[in-house]
Amino acid sequence: MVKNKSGQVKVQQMAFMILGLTIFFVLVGLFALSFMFSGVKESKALLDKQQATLLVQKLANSPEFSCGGAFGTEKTNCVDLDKVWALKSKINDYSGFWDIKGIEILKIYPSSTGECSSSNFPNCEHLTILNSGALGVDKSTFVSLCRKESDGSRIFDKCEVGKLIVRFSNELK
Amino acid sequence: MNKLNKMNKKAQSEMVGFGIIVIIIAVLILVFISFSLNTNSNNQPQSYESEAFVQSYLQFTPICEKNNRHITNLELIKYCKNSDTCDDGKSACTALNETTIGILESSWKTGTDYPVKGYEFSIISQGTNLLKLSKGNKTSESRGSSQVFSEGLQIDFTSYY
Repeated sequence: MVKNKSGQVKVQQMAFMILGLTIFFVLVGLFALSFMFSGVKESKALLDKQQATLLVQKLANSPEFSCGGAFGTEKTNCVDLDKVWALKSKINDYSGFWDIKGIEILKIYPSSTGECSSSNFPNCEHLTILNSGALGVDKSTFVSLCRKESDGSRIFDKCEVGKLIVRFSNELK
Repeated sequence: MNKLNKMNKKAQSEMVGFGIIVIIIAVLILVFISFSLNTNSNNQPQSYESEAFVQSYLQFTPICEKNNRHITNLELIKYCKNSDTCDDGKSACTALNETTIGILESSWKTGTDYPVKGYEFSIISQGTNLLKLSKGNKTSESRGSSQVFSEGLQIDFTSYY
């Protein structure tokens, strides 16, 4: 009878121990998981931003915008301003070609002011290539704005720092 | 009764021992988790924006002509490395410094009112610092780009958010 009772006590102790252990490990696991997933939202926001930057870069490197071999070796994220200026006058032919609401170029350095027009180009800050007037989300990337410049006696390549801003219809998924 | 007491005591000491082992294992797991999370946070995320900035910076045409020819920032860096001068007599390193400050100040607005709190920019050539510029505060969240070129040239840019 005594032996039976002590056996029962041991079984009971073991059951409690196993239960306690299980609860403990579940809690530790939950703690670890909450730690691991705490940065998921931030990672998603960062990935969304990077995806948007890549999409804008894709446009910058498309044949309609890219410098190609016009300025020496082929360059990435290089926009041919002369080409873009010509594209601006023909932009109606491109309606629906890109599924975007707007394309703008902003010259960052050296600083200049004003919207680009035939009277002040290329000494201007802001060049609107496409503006559908629709609302959307603006995404941008740094680009080189290259063009052929003349100093009177010779023609040389001039590249400046700018941003290509693209307006998408909706937030990227 | 005495025998039952002895057995109970033995079971209690076993439980205490087992509990100690569980606590040690749990502490080890926590140390491992915190260590792995710390190593992850040290990895600076790659930033396409910073990469694009460095590329456009290198392609920029500075106000420095060499042999009656307009050069790029990348060429200017190489002239600075060789302690060369521009055609107008200005030191290539001075021209590089002025151009870099101008581009950085115009491109990256920093401060509490801006998303970017600070940045660091450096040009390293064969292990020696040609140029190192920084502005604003360093925070725990950073994104950057490190690009390596021929002749041991390395350009690093990190922005802090």
